[in-house]
Amino acid sequence: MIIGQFIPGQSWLHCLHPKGKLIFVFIYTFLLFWMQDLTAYAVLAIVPIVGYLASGVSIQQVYRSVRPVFLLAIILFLLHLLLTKGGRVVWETSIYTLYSAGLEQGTKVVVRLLLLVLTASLLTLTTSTLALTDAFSGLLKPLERVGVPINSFAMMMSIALRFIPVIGEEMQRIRQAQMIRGASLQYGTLRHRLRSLQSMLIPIFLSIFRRADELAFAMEAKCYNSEHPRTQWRRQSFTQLDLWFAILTSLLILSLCLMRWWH
Amino acid sequence: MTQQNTSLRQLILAALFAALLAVAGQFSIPVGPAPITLQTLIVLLSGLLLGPRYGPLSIIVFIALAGIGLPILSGGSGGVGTLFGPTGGFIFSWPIASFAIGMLVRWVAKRGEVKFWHLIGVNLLGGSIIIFGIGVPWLLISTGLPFTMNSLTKTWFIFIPGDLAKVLLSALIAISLYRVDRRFHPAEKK
Repeated sequence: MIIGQFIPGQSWLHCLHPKGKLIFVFIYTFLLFWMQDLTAYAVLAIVPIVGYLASGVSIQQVYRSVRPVFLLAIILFLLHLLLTKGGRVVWETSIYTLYSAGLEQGTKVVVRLLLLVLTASLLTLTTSTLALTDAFSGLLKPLERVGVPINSFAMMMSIALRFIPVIGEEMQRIRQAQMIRGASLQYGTLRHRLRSLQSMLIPIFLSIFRRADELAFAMEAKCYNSEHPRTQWRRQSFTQLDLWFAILTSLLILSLCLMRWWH
Repeated sequence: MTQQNTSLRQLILAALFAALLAVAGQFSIPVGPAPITLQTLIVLLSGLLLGPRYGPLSIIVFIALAGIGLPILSGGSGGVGTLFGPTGGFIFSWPIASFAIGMLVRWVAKRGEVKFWHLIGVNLLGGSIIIFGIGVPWLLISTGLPFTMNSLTKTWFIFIPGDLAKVLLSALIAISLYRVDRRFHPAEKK
């Protein structure tokens, strides 16, 4: 299940308000790109370390969070070794020279990428996707003043989220139906495989179009109108825990600003 | 069909396209060094089938879902970490590419029958050039790699064969769908 990242739990990380957590991840992302030295990265590394310890997430889950970007991190590190020049010559051959600047830059890029992914994954592991879409839509509310239809956008996010497993199952079903008729994505000439992919995708698009028609009729039959205000079934309130979280976040920002100023 | 109903159906269609884009990240065809994933293919088709307004909108919904942490990007990653990481530029180029493709195909449709090679040109001009034109500089800048031909060769050329295959395939699919259902056709869009 591709959207089953959420792991239920009772830790204080689970109990934090989703809006607060979303805001924190965006602030954290900005801080990572703003700071340039490894000392600041060491301070920022406290966040995922404390977070993972508190949430009770297993090591296997942490590894699964990092695995998609692991290959990318290796590639970027090697690219820096190959392409970045400057500083002391560490090792030299007739066709290749390794500079200390390459090692330094490669290390920084990899550390930054891993911290980014670990902290963002902490968000999805401790917050359900429905809570996240609600929080995201709530944070977008101010955009309504400049004419952005947030209600429609929130509806679209909810529909997309709800239909990901439905379309996934349909994709599998159509693929299997085509496979028993000789189609293959893995074997045969490139032309054969592309033709197979085409025969899998065209029914999907026609199905999506039919679903859109049916869902639009059903929603209007139930009196949906995006221009009228509606009540909200799912609610969550801020607590004292969120206040402490905000204070600690402010302290983190302040300490990093001081580090930046001292350099 | 009333205007309200049409508008709601278009919004729902864009949302379902976002869901399809999420599912597409799970499929790939192994071809040479870089596997062909379906996501870029769906991006090209969102412009060809939904037009310049709802095509980009579907991709923005997808990016919003990826941004809050759903593991729906290629390889099962997600979250702001990946969006603002080295490969984020490719993802943020998608709504722009979809818009350009939608505008170009509508322009072509106003001038007569849409043919296969029209769509090839539209996909290359509006799709590949924009996606690589935004994604590659972002990749180089965010990782501190130099803007040299050596650097471009290692980060870009490896993906060209797969990308050309997607351009070809999306044109084939769009032509088929234009024939099957006129509502897909760019000339039918308002």
